[in-house]
Amino acid sequence: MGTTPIIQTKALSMVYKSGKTETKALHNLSLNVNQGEIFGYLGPNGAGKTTTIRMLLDLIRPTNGSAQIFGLDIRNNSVEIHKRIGFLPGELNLWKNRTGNQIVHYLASVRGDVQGITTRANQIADRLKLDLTKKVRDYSSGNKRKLGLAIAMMHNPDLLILDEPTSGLDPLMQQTFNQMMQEYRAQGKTVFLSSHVLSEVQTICDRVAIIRDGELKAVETIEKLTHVEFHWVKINFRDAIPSSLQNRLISMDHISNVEMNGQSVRLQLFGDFDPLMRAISDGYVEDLHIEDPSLEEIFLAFYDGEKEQSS
Amino acid sequence: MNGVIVQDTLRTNWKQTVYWGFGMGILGLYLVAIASSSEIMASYGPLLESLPPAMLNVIGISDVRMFTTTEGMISSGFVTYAMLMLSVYAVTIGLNITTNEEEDGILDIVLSLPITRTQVITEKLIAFALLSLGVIALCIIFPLIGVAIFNVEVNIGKVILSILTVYPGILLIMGVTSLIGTVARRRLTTIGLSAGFIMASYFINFLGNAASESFAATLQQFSFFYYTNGETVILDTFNPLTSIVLIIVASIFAGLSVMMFNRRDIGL
Repeated sequence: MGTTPIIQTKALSMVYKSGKTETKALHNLSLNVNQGEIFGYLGPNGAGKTTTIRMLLDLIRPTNGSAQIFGLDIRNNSVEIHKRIGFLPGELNLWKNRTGNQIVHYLASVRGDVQGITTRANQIADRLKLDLTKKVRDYSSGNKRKLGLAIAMMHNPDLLILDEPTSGLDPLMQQTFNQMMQEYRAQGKTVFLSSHVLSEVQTICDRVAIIRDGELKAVETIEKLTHVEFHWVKINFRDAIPSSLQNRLISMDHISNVEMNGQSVRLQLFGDFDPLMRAISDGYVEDLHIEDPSLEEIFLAFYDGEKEQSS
Repeated sequence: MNGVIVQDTLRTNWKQTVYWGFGMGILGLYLVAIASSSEIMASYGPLLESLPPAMLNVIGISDVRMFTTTEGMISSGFVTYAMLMLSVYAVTIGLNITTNEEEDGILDIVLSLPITRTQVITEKLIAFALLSLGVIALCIIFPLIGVAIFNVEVNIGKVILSILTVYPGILLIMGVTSLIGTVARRRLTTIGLSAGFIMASYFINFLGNAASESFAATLQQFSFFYYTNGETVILDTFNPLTSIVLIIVASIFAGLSVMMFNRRDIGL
């Protein structure tokens, strides 16, 4: 992964105006996405992800701030930039009466290398098990998404900008998508993908930005974000859990969310394992299972922490 | 500009052109068939001459010659109505410049390609101007076929020229609809406002015909219907400058729509 910024935004802001109502969709977004990384752009619905992407593509113009892609200004050099970009919108709409092949051919004609691009589109379609001879109106939402991916990737762009790329894809296709993204990265190309599916980001992204209410909350590597401060521990006892142990676990420091169910207990452990091991030594432990928190839990914890701070 | 959007627009819209051209052409052919009947032509003259001039003006005839000559009959019976009917066609093609694709969300993909917004809209305007010419060509061809079939004696040059006067009107409505679409963004709003423009023009022209000595007659000159009914061709008072001015005005509207489209956000 290089450190050359492929995408660079400086205090990018967007305010939507509707009559007298103003909605702040994005506020002072400053972000760098480096060459050769898969960058996740995470946030709940309405956080400002799509607004950012639409601004990067010059579909909407920022109220304030600026952005560069490949070192070029997004407004003044949009044609040059778009030559090297593949884009998948969050809500993909295409000409319903055209077949996948016709759309690929048309878009390839505009890009200028019909032969090479259509060949590559066919390869991607084969890999995604997509029939390009069907009309768009006959595609399921998943197949429409696959067509969108083929369109985004068919000209082998240096940068992929994907808005919620896997929504509608079945788990098998999500795996194929993940592989394709990793192959892309291996070629030194860059992927900027927005998502609210945290597991997807966790699997493939190198770095993640978290955005909420139009404001950037954090930019971290996946390793750092998933650097766990706590673990989930599940303990199965041979016999019923003694009431003394129950009380001890509930009252222990660094332990919370204790759930007991007959012979098993599940709890959240912060810090070292030793105090817990000593506490449960009264019982006969049949099985002990340790889980790292999911990114979703970290994500929610991140938000909760923010909420607490702001309140 | 590489012409890909022009080609694609021609390829995907030629059927619409044929349907409109065929429909309108058949109407022209029918009028030639009527005009070929010497009995009908002979009965029209005295009938129209018996009407007061104000009444003739209301039905869009300022001179009896418009119904007593074959080319006049074709022009008054076909060209005036052709302009009104092709106004609908012009609105539909005007909507296809940006409004339909924007409301359908397709523009996001189109504008993510390495092309400028100016290129997208300009190529579409060129393509639809060519397709409109196709409709006009069919509107000319069918009456000419009628002339050949029914062996009608007619001034073919005048028939062709009177039908051609409709073309600047189509371009004007396309330009106006395109501009309204780039400002209003919504399909129904665009249709409503464009229809309002056409109806207003039509009634300004109609009232000008009905009250030829009043202010309405002056106002009539601001209606494109006044210049696109072929009557001046038949009466030998046609001034090509009026058609050129209409084309220039249409180009100004088209240019403004390019400018507006370049300045605004897409799909909001």
